[in-house]
Amino acid sequence: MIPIIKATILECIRDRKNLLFMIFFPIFLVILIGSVLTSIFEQENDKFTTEETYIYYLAEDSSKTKEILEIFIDALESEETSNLILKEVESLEEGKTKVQVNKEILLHFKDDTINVYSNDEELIKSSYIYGLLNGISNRLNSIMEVYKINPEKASEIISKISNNYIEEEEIAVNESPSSMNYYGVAEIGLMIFFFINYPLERIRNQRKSSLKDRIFLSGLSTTKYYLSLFMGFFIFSFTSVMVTYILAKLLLNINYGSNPIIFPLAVIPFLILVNGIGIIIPAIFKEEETTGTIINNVITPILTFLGGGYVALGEDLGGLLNIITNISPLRWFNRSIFRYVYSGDSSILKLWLTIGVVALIAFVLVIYIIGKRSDKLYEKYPSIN
Amino acid sequence: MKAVEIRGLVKKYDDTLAVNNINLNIEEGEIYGLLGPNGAGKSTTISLICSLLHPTSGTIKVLGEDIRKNALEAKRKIGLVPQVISVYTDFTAYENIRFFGELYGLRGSELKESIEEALEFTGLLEYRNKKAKEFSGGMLRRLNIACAIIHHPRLLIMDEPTVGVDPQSRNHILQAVKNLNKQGVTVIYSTHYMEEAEHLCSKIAIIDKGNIIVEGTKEELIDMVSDKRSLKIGLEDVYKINIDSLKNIEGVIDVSINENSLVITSSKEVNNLDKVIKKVTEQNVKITNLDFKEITLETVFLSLTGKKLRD
Repeated sequence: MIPIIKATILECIRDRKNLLFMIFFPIFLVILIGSVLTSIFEQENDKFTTEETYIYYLAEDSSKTKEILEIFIDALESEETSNLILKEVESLEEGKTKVQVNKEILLHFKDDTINVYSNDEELIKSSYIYGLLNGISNRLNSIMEVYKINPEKASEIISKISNNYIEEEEIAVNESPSSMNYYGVAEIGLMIFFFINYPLERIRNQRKSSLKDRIFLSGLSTTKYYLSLFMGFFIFSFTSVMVTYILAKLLLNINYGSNPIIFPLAVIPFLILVNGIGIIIPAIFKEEETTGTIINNVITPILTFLGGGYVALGEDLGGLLNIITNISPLRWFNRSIFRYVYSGDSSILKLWLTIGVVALIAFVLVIYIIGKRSDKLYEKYPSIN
Repeated sequence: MKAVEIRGLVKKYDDTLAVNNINLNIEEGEIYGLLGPNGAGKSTTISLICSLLHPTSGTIKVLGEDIRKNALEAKRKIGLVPQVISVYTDFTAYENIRFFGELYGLRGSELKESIEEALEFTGLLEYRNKKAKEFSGGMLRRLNIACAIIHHPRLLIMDEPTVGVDPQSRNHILQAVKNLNKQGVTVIYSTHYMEEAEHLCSKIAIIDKGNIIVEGTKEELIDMVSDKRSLKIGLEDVYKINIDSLKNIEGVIDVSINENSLVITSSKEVNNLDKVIKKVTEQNVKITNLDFKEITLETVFLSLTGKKLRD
């Protein structure tokens, strides 16, 4: 398997034109689109810091999160300069309508969870609210721990609590994504789609040139062949994306958060999907001449659009649209990074990584079945002795 | 020991019969020619021997290994030179050969020595660091061979290895095949160039439409058509001749144009030379040369199938 992995990586690296394109084109796109849309993103930032913003909430049997809600209300009321206005809604549907139509924010307190409904176009607002709630939640948890050891100290902290966390969370507003920061993630994600062409084209070429026959003649099984290719393409694509990521960070000062592992982690499931599909298609469809065209000209642009690669899409677009946009790996990739970097929320990243693990298991299973079917065909045929 | 033993081999694609009940015995140490036109079933037969395709029915043994039971063992004894160039074009000659060596488990000094040997054998030693995409057609063909012999196979299968190469490279390839055979390698040589089969092969099977029409040494095959003769008439303007009028002469089997000559194959039993000459001169074309051609495998093929090898 190692010779195939090595050869796959080397073959991709030797294709200099495509390699340079894959590394530098996202940087070019970030500069181009990021610059063009800077004013729009700045307007959003200004609007948030100067205009009044409504936050709707629905407290439903919220005994466990009640304290957070109360502190949150106190904090907003005591902050004179705050332009956040809290209003209660009667039902979840009413709140969701506010999010969809008015692009406001809805907080749904239920049992021990707080669901935040927001619109991706209002990422700055939702980031800010996330930050506030996380701050309150973390502090409450800390106080509970302190209380177990030193109740007096805990009371002292509680008395100060509502005065200082708005000031602290204002830092999050300053770090809200600029157009450069947004497209610094989204355009790299867009380019990841195009790594699908590497396995698609190379497997097709290896079949056409009988290189695949020669490799099989050496005794390598079908399963090992495809797994080796997967590893080779994955290592290559991951390394390429990392080069772009480092260049974007160094040259354009894109904000990928303080934890440098987050971006590479979010890339992994995306590349598992892209390379896995890029290998399974030619492994199943022998005449896949048109498949590549359909993927590049139809599927990739649609998934890119649904993922917010061209323009940022809303967070809550309504039932059906939510499902449709969730089909796009780019959307998962973007959201997992933005949520983590600007809100410290790792829930989407965790879900995205889980999707990656499931996709990897599914890919290995499909390749194993294809390999077994191919290698066991002999048993089906009668022999004449 | 037999290098290849095939019994009742059939390969069907839906309704198309690509290989139809082939039986073959190839002895170790032979250069065995598979001669036939494009689409005759040569490449399919080769893929079946290499167990790259699954037969519809029949058995194949390669150097004693039944490929149905021990496909892996059988495969590793084979070196394959495919009809198309099967190398990484962005790799150098050295890197390509090393890749295949590593695939066969060669490591360290053994690998290095084998690469040097393969490069030297194919005359590519001085081009070792040149990328395959910068090679000429002939050099690519030689690299194709080098990649097939890196693991010292006992059976080398070459599928049309000289298609589209210059005469110098062709000679080099043919000489390399002979040298390999001298070293004890059994060679299956598939071609539609009858001159190559005549020049190289100790035994030849003529394949057409998935069937082996005839098998034997060159002499045995020519003896089969010894009742025919081939007359070559050099003409000043060969395209003025009405070929159909010649075909109607008693005993004439085939008439074809080869450069400035007419090649007329006819039965030895019928004395029709005067009628042929008369028919040609009647058409006001000046005869420049007259020669009885030696019977070739082309004549054999024509006689057995009724068509030419390169039709």
